[in-house]
Amino acid sequence: MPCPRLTVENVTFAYDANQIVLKDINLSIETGEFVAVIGPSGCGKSTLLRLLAGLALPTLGQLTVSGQAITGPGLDRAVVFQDYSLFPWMTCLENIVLALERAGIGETKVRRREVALDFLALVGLAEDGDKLPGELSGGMRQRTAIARALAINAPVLLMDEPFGALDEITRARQQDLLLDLWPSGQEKGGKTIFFVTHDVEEAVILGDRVIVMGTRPGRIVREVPVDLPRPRSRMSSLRHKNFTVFRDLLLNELNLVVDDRLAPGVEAGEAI
Amino acid sequence: MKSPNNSKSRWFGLISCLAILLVLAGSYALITDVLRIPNAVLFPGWRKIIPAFGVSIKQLLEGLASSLSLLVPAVALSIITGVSAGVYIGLRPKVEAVLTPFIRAMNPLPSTMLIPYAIAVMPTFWSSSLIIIYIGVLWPVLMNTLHGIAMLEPRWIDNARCLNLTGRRLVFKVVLPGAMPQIFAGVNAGLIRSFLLLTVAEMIGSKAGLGFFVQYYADFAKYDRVIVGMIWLSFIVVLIMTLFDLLKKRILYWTKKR
Repeated sequence: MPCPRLTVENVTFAYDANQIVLKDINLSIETGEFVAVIGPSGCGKSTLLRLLAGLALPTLGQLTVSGQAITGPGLDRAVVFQDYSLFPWMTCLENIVLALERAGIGETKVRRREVALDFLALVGLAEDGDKLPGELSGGMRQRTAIARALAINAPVLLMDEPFGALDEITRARQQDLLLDLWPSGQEKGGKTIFFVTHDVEEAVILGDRVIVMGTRPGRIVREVPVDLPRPRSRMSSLRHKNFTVFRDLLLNELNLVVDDRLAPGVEAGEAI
Repeated sequence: MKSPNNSKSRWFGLISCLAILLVLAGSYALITDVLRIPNAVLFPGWRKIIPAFGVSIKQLLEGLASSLSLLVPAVALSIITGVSAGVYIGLRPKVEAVLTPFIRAMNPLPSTMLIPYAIAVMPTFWSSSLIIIYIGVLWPVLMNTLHGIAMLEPRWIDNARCLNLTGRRLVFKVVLPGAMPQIFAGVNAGLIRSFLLLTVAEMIGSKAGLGFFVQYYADFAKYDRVIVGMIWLSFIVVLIMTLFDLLKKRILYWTKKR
């Protein structure tokens, strides 16, 4: 590999001098790597994702994708948001077809519809293409959003708590679906995934590496490689003898971050 | 949602509305035709109004055609220019910051105050009325379009940016559909204003139209015809608003399913 797929170099993001959201973030993500990011609310993990998406630009430092500086959003990075990244006035199929059109996939409208249908079928929604997002359950909408992200065939997937609003069972199913659809990182053309979550178990189940972030200012506290065997499923991960080791380690890190936050000195020093 | 409950309540609404109208018409018949309480010239009974309707039909249809030939182009022009200008301004925050106070100031001003100038400057009654209606309807449409764009959900904008949607595509795929609920609210307000302006314009300077019909027979104290004109005008207004609501339901179908 000539260069990492994603890099974050000395990045600071601030609204103004008193409101530093992220400070001195350094991160390098290899092609085909699945990186999960956890941290308490307010640690800037979603902001970091927005910076990678190009939806916001850093105050200091630089981010790159495939060696190129990120100056704005691009179709080389598909984004799945927590609150469904679909337009409510278009059917699921139309949403995907529009994305395909923008990504330059499929020569004709008919062909794009076919591709869109294939990807809807892949997430088990072959019958629901003509429904509006609002007619689907939260899990189905999120599957549509994932189908769209996969359909445009972007090398990078940025996912911002995509399963955060789903119930327990639906979330478990979505995790398995994502593990099934994500081609193993070592293969050529493997997708690089940057996955923001607040769920420690989810991070361990999915990630090759888990990044723990802390608050005030938002910063990377620790990186934990998760060497559970691939291919994984939710169950295989949960049952692995090392699963609890990783989970407890990460929980411990998060506890430290939160303790830190509640320390009286820090609290008194910052007025918000 | 097409639940049976909903269509049931729609029927209930229609029937109760008709029932109230019947009660009102019946009460009117009672005090005029039967009891003859009010002044018979100002308040003719149904016995006089219904025949008056029969002899007026041709005039009423001609009046309707004349009114619509004024109303439809004026409102259409307001919507086209109002929405276009709204999109242009709404997508340029700096332009919007400069123009918004002006637009907010213009909106409540009654465009009827421009009637003397419209008559003096424009060559025909039709064109001067057109201008008055156009200006009156323009502001609510423009203001609501701007409002709709300002209220576009940030996630739609993020989504559009991630898909590199720009220019015309951004406008037609995201901005207009997303702002459409507000645009309809603006057109709704504009339509209501247009009926008012139409009848005022026709009562003042016209030789045709529904407002003219009412004013003309009022001048001759033919109040049976005046009432016929009022009922006809009301019927047309209700019909237009009903059609507008149907169109709104069709285009905004997605807002019910979010």
